[in-house]
Amino acid sequence: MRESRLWAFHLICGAGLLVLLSLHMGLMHYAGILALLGWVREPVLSFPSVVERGRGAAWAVMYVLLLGFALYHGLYGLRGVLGEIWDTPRAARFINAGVVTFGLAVLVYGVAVAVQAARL
Amino acid sequence: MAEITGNPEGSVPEGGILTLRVARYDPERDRAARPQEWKVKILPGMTVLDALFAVKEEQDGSLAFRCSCRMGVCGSCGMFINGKPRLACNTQVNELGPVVEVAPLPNHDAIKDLVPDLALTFRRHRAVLPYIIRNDVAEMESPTREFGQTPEELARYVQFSYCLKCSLCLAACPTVSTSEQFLGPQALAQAYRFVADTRDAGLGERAGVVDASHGVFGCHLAGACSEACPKGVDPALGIQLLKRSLFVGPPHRAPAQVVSAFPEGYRTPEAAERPKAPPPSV
Amino acid sequence: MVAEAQTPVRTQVPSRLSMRLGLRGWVYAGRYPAERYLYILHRLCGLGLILYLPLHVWVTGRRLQGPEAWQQTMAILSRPVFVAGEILVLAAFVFHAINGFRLLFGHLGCALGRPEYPVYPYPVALHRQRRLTTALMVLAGAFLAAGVWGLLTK
Repeated sequence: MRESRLWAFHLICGAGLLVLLSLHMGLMHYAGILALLGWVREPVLSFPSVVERGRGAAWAVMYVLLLGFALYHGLYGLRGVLGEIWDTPRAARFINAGVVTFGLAVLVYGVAVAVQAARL
Repeated sequence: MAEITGNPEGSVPEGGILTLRVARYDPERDRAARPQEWKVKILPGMTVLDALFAVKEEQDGSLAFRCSCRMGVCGSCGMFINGKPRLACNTQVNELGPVVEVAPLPNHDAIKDLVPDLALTFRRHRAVLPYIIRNDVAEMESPTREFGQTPEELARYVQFSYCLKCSLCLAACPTVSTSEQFLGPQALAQAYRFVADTRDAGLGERAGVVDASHGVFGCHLAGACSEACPKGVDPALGIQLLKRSLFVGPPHRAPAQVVSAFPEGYRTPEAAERPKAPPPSV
Repeated sequence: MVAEAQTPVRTQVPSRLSMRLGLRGWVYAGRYPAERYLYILHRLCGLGLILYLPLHVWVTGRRLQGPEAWQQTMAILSRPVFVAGEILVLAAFVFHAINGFRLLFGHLGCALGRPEYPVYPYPVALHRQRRLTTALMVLAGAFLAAGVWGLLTK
């Protein structure tokens, strides 16, 4: 595949992350401010509120999308960084196989968690 | 250099003494760079290259460096001077302070002392097909007339055509510092110089080289190349515009055609109003 | 011509001296301007975040083991060393996101201006972006301060 396609997807995932990860981080780290505004009632990391969020289909989709975007964006970046240190074609094959395997493993685990969490 | 450097405090006035510290390397005896110092009397308008010549002529004839035009046009005397890649002939010593440290260009092999091996730079340059590529072979083989190009169209690429191939941008580029395969700012900016030329139709062919691993996407917009460029080429801008071209095409829709020929003996309407040349006196 | 016998015998010395900077060329920005430093930070933060991500996914999976396991994990994560780590992750995210926003446009040749004739003092596209860069870094600082306050008062 042409590098520009892979790179364009890296940018698209980056833009997606800007929105989704900002929402996620906003909820997790700016909870104090959100609570002041009355948008959050319970502590966001208490077990009931974590389970409650996991049950909603919209939340589950958001988390899976977030995970997919983050994995692609991050691992494409990591591939670039490693490929600039070890720049032989053999190293490139090794790096590509490594990031794809690692990415798929984390994605499968993450999706499994999201699916099971929806049943809690 | 993008900024005008004045005469900073701590610099030595004309007539003062300059300490020139050079990282030397002799392939016959050295395994690593070997620092050596000389004292040089500062003359009016003295450049780092002048100081190196003063050492070579008066103190140590074995000092090796490469230069040609001595006026910032040929791009031969690129060196690492006081923490930045610069052209020795383009850098006044009174901008630098009392101690001037000179080393061979980073990210290149030194052949001897301050002489870098630029072969890889030229190979990278050639790799991006740095010439006009067109589909009308007949016109290219036996040209009939010139191709039309407006001043506005010229302005889209003229900045990038000032490249000297001095390799300073490659010395500054962080990606080049680890990856020999990366095409580097010089070649990529030159690729855009031709892509943005209205006479060119070679984006597709060049994409085979630049739109690959170690191609244009190895640039992460650190901007060091543009700071190092001694001619204001701004390779970082060219590279980003090249990325854009890979997605939306070159700035021009179709390659420029040859301008239509005027009939034999044609004069523009204004030609009649122009004063005629006086008759020959002899 | 120097007679062959007089030429020095080449011992095993390299015929070239490699001046390749290697990883030092990434982390040393020396006298280059702000964008070169932002490049280092962006890369470091990105690497930190991608290394943190699998750990984070594993932690989120702990809720499947029930409320006790979750509370236990949260208790471990409330130790000062993990809170400090969380602040680092937040800082990395805020910077990487906001600088990434700048790069998103830059990489597509937007907000950089047009090529110009190189008349001294030479035009540099990234200098034309300086105001935007400064504003975004101030914004990143503000977000980070608010986030740290939010974390510490949670």
